[in-house]
Amino acid sequence: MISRRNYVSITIMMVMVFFLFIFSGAAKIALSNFEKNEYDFDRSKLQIRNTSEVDEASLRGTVLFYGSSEKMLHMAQQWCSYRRYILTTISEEQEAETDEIPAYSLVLIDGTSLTEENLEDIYAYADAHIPLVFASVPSVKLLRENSKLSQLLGITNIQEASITLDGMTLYENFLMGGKVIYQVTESDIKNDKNAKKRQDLNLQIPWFILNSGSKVYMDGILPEGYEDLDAAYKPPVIWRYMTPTDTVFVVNNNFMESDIGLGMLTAMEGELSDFYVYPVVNAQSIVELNYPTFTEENTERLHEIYSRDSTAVLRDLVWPGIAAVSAHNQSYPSVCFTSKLDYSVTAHPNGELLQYYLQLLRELHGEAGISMVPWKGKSVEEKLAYDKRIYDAYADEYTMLFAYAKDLDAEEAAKMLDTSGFDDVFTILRDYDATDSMIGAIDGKIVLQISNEGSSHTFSEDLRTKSFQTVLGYSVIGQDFAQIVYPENKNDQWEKVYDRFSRYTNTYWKNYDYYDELTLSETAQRCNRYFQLEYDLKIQGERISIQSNASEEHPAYFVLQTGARTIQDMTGGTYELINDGRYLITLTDSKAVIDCSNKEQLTFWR
Amino acid sequence: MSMAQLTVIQIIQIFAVYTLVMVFLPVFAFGNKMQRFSFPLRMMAYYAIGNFFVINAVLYLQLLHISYRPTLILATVAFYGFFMVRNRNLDVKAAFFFLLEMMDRRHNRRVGRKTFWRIMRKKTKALRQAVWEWIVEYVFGYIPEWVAAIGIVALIWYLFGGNYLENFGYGASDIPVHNYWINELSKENLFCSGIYPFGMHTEVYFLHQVFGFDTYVLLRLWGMINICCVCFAMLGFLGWLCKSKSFLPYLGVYLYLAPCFINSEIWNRFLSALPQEYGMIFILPAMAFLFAFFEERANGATEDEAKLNLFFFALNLALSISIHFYPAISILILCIGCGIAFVKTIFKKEYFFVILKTGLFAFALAVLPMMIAYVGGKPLQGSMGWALGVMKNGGSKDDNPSRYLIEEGKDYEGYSFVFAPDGTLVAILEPGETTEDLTPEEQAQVSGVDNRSFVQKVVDKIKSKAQPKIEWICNFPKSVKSETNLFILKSEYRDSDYGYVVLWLIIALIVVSVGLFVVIPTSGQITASIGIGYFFTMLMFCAGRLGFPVIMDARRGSFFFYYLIPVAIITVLDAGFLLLERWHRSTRISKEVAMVLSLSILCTTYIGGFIGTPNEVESLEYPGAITCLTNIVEGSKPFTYTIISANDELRMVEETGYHYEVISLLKHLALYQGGDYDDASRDDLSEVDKGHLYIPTEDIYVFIERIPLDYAGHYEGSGQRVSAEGAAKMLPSSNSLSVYTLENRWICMSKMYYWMQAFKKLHPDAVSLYYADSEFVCYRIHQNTFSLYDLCIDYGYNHCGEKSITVND
Repeated sequence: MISRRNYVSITIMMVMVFFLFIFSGAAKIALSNFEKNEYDFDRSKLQIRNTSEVDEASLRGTVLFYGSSEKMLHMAQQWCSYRRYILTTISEEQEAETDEIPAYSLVLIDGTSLTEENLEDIYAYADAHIPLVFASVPSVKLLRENSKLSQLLGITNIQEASITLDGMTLYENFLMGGKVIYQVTESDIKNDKNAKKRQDLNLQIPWFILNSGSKVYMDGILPEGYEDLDAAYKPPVIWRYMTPTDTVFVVNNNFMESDIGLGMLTAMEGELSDFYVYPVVNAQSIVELNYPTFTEENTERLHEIYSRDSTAVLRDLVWPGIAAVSAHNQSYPSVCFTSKLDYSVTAHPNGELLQYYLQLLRELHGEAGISMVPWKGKSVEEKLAYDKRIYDAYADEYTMLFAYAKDLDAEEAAKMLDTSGFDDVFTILRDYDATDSMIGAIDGKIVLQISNEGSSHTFSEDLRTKSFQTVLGYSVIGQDFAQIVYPENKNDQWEKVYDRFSRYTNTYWKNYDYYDELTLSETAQRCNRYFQLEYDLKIQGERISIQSNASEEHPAYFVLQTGARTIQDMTGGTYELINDGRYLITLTDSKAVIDCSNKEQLTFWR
Repeated sequence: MSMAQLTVIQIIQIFAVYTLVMVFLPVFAFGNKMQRFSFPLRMMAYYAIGNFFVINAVLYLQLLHISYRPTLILATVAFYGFFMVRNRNLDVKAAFFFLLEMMDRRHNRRVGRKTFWRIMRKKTKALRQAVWEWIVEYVFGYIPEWVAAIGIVALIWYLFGGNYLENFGYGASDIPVHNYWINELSKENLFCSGIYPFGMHTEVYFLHQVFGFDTYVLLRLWGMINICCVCFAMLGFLGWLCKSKSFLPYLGVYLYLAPCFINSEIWNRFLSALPQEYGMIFILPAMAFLFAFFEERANGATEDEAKLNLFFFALNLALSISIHFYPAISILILCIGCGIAFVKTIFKKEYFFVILKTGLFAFALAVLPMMIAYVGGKPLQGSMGWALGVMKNGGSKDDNPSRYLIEEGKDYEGYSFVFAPDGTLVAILEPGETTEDLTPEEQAQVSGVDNRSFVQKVVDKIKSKAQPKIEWICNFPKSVKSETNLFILKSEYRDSDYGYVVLWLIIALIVVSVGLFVVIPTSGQITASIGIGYFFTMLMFCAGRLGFPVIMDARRGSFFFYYLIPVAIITVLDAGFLLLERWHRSTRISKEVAMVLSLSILCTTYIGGFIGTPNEVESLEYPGAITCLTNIVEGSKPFTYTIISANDELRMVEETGYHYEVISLLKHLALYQGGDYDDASRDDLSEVDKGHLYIPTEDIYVFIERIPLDYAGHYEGSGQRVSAEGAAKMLPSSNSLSVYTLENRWICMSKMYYWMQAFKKLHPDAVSLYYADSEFVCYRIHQNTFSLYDLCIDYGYNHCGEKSITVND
């Protein structure tokens, strides 16, 4: 038996412990300030200019597209807009009717459109020592009949008109992200039954033997039966052929018909000079789409799979996975709220869950936005009106800065947001659309595209990622969680989705960890500054001077390719070595000077 | 850090390790067994044991094909450990178990850290005390001697060290061959090019294998060890020999090193790692032990007591045979001198057989590993046959062969030939001579009628035989002087009379040895031995000029002869001081006089500019090349790089990387796009497709001499830079080293330079400058090993030269 005194003391201690635990939890909630968006900023100073309006003064030169492929033309247009070139086509050149060949910075040639008649044009460009990029290889017949053309491309021999490869190898120091082997092996298939689906590259190409003076960036992996072949004779896919006066790049595949060509063109441009400096966005985001929802939906089906309802699944199973991925990638999650997925469901959203998720997001320094397009049941305007009421009731102080518009037209989405009362939203995120620009701005809104789906990573998607990382230093991974609540098959179950999602994000984005991980609104701001950036470059010997409108508050980012040189000193900013011969430069001052060195490389003793 | 600083550090490291292995380990193992010897003899004994062990451990492990770092270390530990335990009565078992117990107690925390170390310190107190006492006795007790020894080392650094700080490459053209032989030891391929004395090679291999020094580093710096050991061997010998207990030994080494009028050829070979010079270390110690044997026996020691001296004589003789035959020849000549001086003693029964057995023992020790290899099927190395041939052919035995033997290739314009009636050639008369200059005998032969009387005939015969000999004797001093002036003195003294000094020394040696023989017979005999040995060495040196059989050519003979000159001088001085001591019955005066003499000679020579200038030899690789090589070896993972250079780097990087010869690359370039090249020299291009060249390493370093070296010779355009003119010349056609000599080297380097510039234009991102100075440049080609660059390109000079080259379209 304890005495009364002891009993009182124990009780007081227990109450105090209880109070401390409760107090710390309550204090955390009270002080977290989760009701406000920590990434909110004074948008009155934000200037968003339509990307269709080109600042003539910032243009660097002219690129000629010689060909008829619409897809290649679109890719070239996009690239020129990022790299600030004027793009002209052959028809425009012919309209100009000049005898002299203009001083093009680059001529991009659709090889498949070449015939005997127009070869002389190509030779004329070569004679004018303009760098040529053959975005596709001319026909084998044309090459066989024109040795001069073969010579121009650095081809000494046509081994086979067509060969089916087993895979391809992309070598390092071309695109960002290092060396990759695009091949599905037997052991890959053993580990993952769906591994074969990753191989979606075009594997059938002509097989050429190249001349000395060639540098191969990507070559093919031959099928069985060619094991004794010298490595020097593997089928080249992308190469450069150089003579003392000419430089020709050749792409022996269909990469230039898609956004993959963006990064490749950037890499090729970098091979043309000792120093290559270009601006990048320097932003990466992981966005959870249609997550979370606050309404009980598809309860019966989810009980069968998870023994719990939809809100519990999203809260207890999905959220820890999202938190783990964020922690592993040291990123900040951006989520796109939706009060429901199926608006025909009569159950009401639980507004308290909204506040709960805002708390969780605050702990991870994440950010919330909205999903615009309903999964089912209402029109976009109706959905937006419905959700607005919920958000105003339960999170009226939280400023939503971005919206997921799926495949809606950007202009239309911008109007809908304004009319629905979501005036604060200044970023529209869309699904990947190969026919549109990856990043842009229209009607006062930044328009971004998702570069990759979180739970899918085919070989062409990987190349696309590398391409965007090279040309823009940008990636947005989007993972749609509607399928979790409304699974159609086993692959839509969370454990499978999470397996793919975490595996792909943790593995394939590790190579780009030198770029900043941001929330979506921060990424959008970086994109906007990328478009607003004005800079002037001067290279004198080993010294690079950059004058720009960068500042400490709004820094600008560049990638500098120095080849064999190293940066010795820099003023007006900082630098970080990201690859062999590549640096990420951060300018924090309007004037920056970078001193490089091509000194001898003796490391130890002189 | 600069290469010069690195070189200094490397020299110190190599010295430390070398001294540990060759001196300190024998000291630890055999120290207390050598107390009967005086200090100089002890040091020479330790050194002999150290060298003998290393050479034979390596040779026998190689013959057993178990020569690796662990086995070498095990053999060393086992050998020295066994003798250390036995000789010092160490209770290893007790020590081992004590250590185990202490470690157990420490591990289980039964003793604290401080207690543990206090116990260990207490246990080692006796050892530490012994070391301290040794330091007090041998360091603090001999400060002047240490100062003098440090002075000798400083002089060596001054005269030789500078060369190593400026010329990092090899100083002789056969060092790459020695490098190759040593590299093959790492592959357990002993005597890879045939049986050859491998003593020095095994020692370099031992240091490389056990301590991790690169072989090329050891070979480029071995000369410093060599010259130091040669000087300290002389110091040791003179230290034992000089009975007057003065500073004469140091003076002797000074007189050897310092004189400014000595021909630089005497020193050039010491700036390289050459076995002959390394073998010289053992000449004087061998003689010291032989003399010590006679001395001890004369002083009453029994054969058993004195034969340890013979053992070390045998060891030193065996070492010299193991390292190079020529020093062994020098020892044998000195032994002949000793034999003559001790003629009364040596043929006594108790001496003769034991000395004979010693000689056979020494020969067996040295030759046994070579015999085993020979029986195993290894042939003799080429230069061994050459050496035997030189000795076999020797010189003509006739007095005047030019009188009646026609020399092939000689121009006989103005000469007249005198024939006997039967057509036999009687004599060849030089221009100006007539038949009246013929000897009576020759005249008789010519006329066919001999009217001379018997007595007249005998007299004429004697005259004809004796005259050349008399002439020879009269010319003898002049011949020796001329030979000395030619090979030992600098060219400005060629016509001086300084060469006669070597003859005056003989007279001085005779005088002092006679004087000493009267006072101390054994010392007199030893002095006489030195004198006779010195004389015979002189004869060997001048053999060609004197008409004797030539055992070794005069250039080589000069090294051994010059080595004995200071020994002879100090012997004379010491004998003089000894006689002075005897006369005054006091050692003090002779010591003071000796010190005064030494100091005054030092001061006079220093002030008078007697000390020679630092020696330098043009190395066969540019300092820049060795700098690059050192950085490449240090900074690259093994076998991830290839060096394209002329020749020597092949052996230097054999164990860490690849090498591709310049001439092979240029041959490929000549075959570019269907070109042709001299068939005879294409066989070494083993690649299937000769018009392409891929080198499958991540990095390729291209060594180009902007001013091509004068590799083993000068030509009219020596010192000119690479140029388009050189690149446009025909590619040298040969498979031998001649492609890299004289003008051919300039052509090759010019072509390489222009090839590099063309390649850089094609692949600007792959080529970077690695190193550059006014004479040498190194480029680095970095490539993807999965997608190699074809090095065969059109560089503008692929097909050129006076010879027509077929280019197939």
